[in-house]
Amino acid sequence: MHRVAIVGIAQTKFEAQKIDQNYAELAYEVTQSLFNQLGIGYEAVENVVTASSDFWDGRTISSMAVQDAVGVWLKSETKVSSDGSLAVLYGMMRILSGSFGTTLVLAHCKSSEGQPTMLGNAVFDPIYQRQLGFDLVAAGALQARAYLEKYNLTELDLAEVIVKNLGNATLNPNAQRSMSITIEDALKANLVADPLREFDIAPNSDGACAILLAREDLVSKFTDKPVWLSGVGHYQDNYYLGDRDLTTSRSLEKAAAKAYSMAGISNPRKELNVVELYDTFSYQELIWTELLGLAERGKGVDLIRNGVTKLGGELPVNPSGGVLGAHAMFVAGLVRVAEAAKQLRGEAGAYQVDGARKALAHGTVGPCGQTHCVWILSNNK
Amino acid sequence: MSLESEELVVYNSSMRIPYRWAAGLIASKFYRLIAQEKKIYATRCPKTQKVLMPPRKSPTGVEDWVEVGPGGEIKSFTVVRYPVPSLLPTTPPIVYALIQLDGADTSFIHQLGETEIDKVKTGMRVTAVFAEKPNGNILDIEYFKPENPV
Repeated sequence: MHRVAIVGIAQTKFEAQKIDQNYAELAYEVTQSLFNQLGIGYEAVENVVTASSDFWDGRTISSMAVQDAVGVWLKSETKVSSDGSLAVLYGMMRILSGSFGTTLVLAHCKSSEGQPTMLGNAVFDPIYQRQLGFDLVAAGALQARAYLEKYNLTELDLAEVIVKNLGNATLNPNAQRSMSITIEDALKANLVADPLREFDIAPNSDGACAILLAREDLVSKFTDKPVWLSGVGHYQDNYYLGDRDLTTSRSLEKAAAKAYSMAGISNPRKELNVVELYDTFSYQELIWTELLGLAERGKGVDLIRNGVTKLGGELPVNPSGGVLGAHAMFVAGLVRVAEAAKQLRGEAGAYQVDGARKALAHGTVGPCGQTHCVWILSNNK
Repeated sequence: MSLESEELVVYNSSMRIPYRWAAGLIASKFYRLIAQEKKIYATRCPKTQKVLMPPRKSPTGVEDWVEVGPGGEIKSFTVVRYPVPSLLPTTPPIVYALIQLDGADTSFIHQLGETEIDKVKTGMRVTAVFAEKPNGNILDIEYFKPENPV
């Protein structure tokens, strides 16, 4: 089987409201940025996979709005109406099918243009759930409480995640939330949905991200710093929250096991150099790191308290600030892949993890982490 | 020509699109039983013997309906402090809970009423309060209230 590498990365700055750009212009900005970095034009792109949502864009077939911007006239474009980490999987599969040599993977969202509470409510089915007014933040709060109570954790443990990640976000010029906050600030913030307070919850962001994937024989045409897709796992769990044990995630455990096995990783804590997680809520970094095999169940917070996952620690988690720093729906998982790749290329600037050679990037979608996609990226083929 | 920020055009609009979502045979029966009997029914999976709430279609083609509740236990809950525009007449705070009804093996989401938010706890017993005029939707169970008045 052929190998596939990331050969180019571009993203916008993430902001609460990009009032001077429509969403096609966001897609155009990252496409042009990628092309300028690589010194290529549209002809180098053999096909395109985009990620976005009709509901969030407020139009039917949201990819139509960006097709001109990404240059797919007389080419194949297809869309993932889900997280961008899954668009990477689809883009890789299109290359491995033998049909294409390169895939441009692009995700966009303008959270500022819709109404996130109502759009989050529409995730829930109209027959049994939607009329309750329930949304994704309320769903996260149910999971947060279930996890905290099971392992006798408190809001103080969640504040540790916030302080680490928002501290890292101050070093990332693309982050939306850029603020040094203390444990006290985090604990004093307004309650939004108990036990979650303002900074426990990712902001709503506008932005876009693009990466270019290439088959191994074409890689050297684009870059001398390819980042290889070494392993991937993608699993779903039940849709109804009440069918699942919210303190854990069977789909993440399976996705991690698959990605580790494909990449030949037996001890992730020792073998990985950097991790970028899709944590829509503070507590999710704790659950996700545990299920990725980086800590014992209920002990995820010790990774932070002991300095393991801080920038400069043994295994930095979310050196970019993660999703608490910026959260454009459907884009955030692709940004995790892009940030992990930047680390391996030594291009992460003030939040660079020295000598990173193997990285994990994680995407999720659906209430309380229904679906997970785990990527292992490597400098070495 | 450069534009000042107040000159940037933002088209304010909304989409109000009517839908007609068929509930299907299983959910229709679930709501019919609530309307006629003021009772909640779930279905038992023929393979695992688990009682699933809300009810699901059976692979055998014949559903095994099992009465559950009206009492149950809170498995987790939250107090939503923000308004939910155009979705609910209720003003915040709104208490949502994952409730496992007696006789069911899975939980489902609903709202709590007739309670004090500071008194709500995981493990608390609650019971269904049925709407006076059922409409064939989840609010035919108007809310759940604590089994023992707070």
